[in-house]
Order: sequence, then C-alpha cells, then structure tokens
Amino acid sequence: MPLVKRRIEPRHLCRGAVPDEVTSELECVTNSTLAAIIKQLGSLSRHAEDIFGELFNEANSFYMRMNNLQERVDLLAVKVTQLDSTVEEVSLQDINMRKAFKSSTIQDQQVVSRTSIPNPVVEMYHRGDKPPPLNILSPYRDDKKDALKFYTDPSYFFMLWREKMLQATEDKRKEKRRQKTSCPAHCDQGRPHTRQAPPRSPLFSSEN
Amino acid sequence: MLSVKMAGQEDPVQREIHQDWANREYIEVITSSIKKIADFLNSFDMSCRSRLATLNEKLTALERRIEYIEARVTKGETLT
Repeated sequence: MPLVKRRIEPRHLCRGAVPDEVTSELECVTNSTLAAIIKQLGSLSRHAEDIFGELFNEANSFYMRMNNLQERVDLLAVKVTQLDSTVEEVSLQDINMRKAFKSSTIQDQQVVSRTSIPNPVVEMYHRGDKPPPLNILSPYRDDKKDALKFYTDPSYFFMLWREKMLQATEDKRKEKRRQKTSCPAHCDQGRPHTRQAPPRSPLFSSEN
Repeated sequence: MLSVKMAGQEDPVQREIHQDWANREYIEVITSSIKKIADFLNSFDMSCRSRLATLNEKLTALERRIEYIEARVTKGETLT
C-alpha cells in the first residue's frame, strides 16, 4: 500500500458542526470554510518549503561534487602538459609487475535507514501510537530478555542477517578444514580456489 | 397566510441564498487553485528528481573517467 508522504490538513473544509446560538447559518459555514482554507494554505506552504529544501540539498551535494571534479580536472590539465614521452623509459618487466587499474566501486550502503528518512515521514512516525510499555515488565522476567522485543523488535532482521552471515563463515571454515584434512596432497591445487588470480596485462598475453 | 409570509420573506431570503452561492463559488475557485498548486508542486518535484538523477549518472561517469585518467597520468610520472 503506498504511503501518502505529504498530507494537507485539514482535509474537510465545511464538515464542522454549526454552533446552536448562530442565526445566519450560511454565513457561519462560509466563514468556517474560509478559515479552514487559510489553514490548508499554511499546510501547503510548509510542504512546499520541505519539497524545495530536499531538492536544494540534493542539488547542493551535486554542486560540491562538481567543484571537486573541476579541481581534479585542472590538476590533470597541468600534469598532462608536464608529461614528456621522449624522457620516459618503459621496461617490459615493469609493466608486468604493476597491478592493473581497478576503479573504486563504491556501493551504496544503508540507503533506507534512520539517517536518510525524509522529514514528513518522521512526522508521520511520531504521530503514530507508541507501542505498549512492556519494557517495564523486563525486570520480572526470568530469562533477563527485553520484554518489548517479544512484541516489536526493530533489530530483528539485522540479527537474522547477522546469524546467516556468521553461519556462512562457519560453514566455509569447516569446508576449508575438511578439504585440508581429506586431501593434503592436493592442498596446492586447492589454494587457487580461495585466492583470486592476479589480473594479467594485455602485453603479457600477446607475448605468449 | 403562509404564501403572503413567503412572498414578504422572498427578497431577503433569496438575497441570502444568492450571496451564499456567490461565496461558495469563490471558495470553489480558491480550492481548485490550491489543488492546482499541489499538482504543480508534485510534478515539479518529480521532474526535478529525474533531472537530478540524470545529472548524478553523468557525474558518476565523469568521476570514473577522471579516476582512470589520473591513474594513467600518475603511472607515467612514476616511470620517469
């Protein structure tokens, strides 16, 4: 079910009850509707400010990145003019010894976390009901566990993933131990499976 | 008796009803404008986000290219 991110309050303009002592009901309804419209305009302007704020923050981060890139490009431009192909001596052994270039692959982590939550969703979260205060019963438990965790546990999925990872590493360790004990003669063959082969440069392969 | 009373009250009542209709039309104009503003804000937000996402992709590609060129140029320097 999609979550409504921003809601303009009040939703209904003329649903309030008319007071008993009012004679001109139509005027009363009109006035209360206009007052609700003014509240709606206030809510709308707050949401608009939030929207523009989010867009501004994102554009600002791109501006910083672009500035950084511009500095790097300027440095490169200077460096490139200083390079001289006649002076450089490249030996074939040196090319083979050097590690091949690997770009830094930055993976986004914790994208949907507490720190990246947008403001209207935080407000919605705080408007919600709190869970019942079951943690006051924690001192009376025999197993010394947090009583609220039996009702709601935010860290449940992380703990599950952690258990899975620990189990996976334990299984790999057992597998390695089994390989070592079962086939000691082939332990040299077994090594490339655990270690990554170093990348070869194209010059070396063309020589062969 | 009732019809005479109704005829006498017709003008102020009718006036009040006409005024109410005019007020409601005014309120309707304002609320439809509010809805248009909300629609505009949503579409502006979406279009801005898609443009910023395109910009982000281009920036990432540029960063990777510059990293590669830096590695090439720096290699040349160390060999001298």
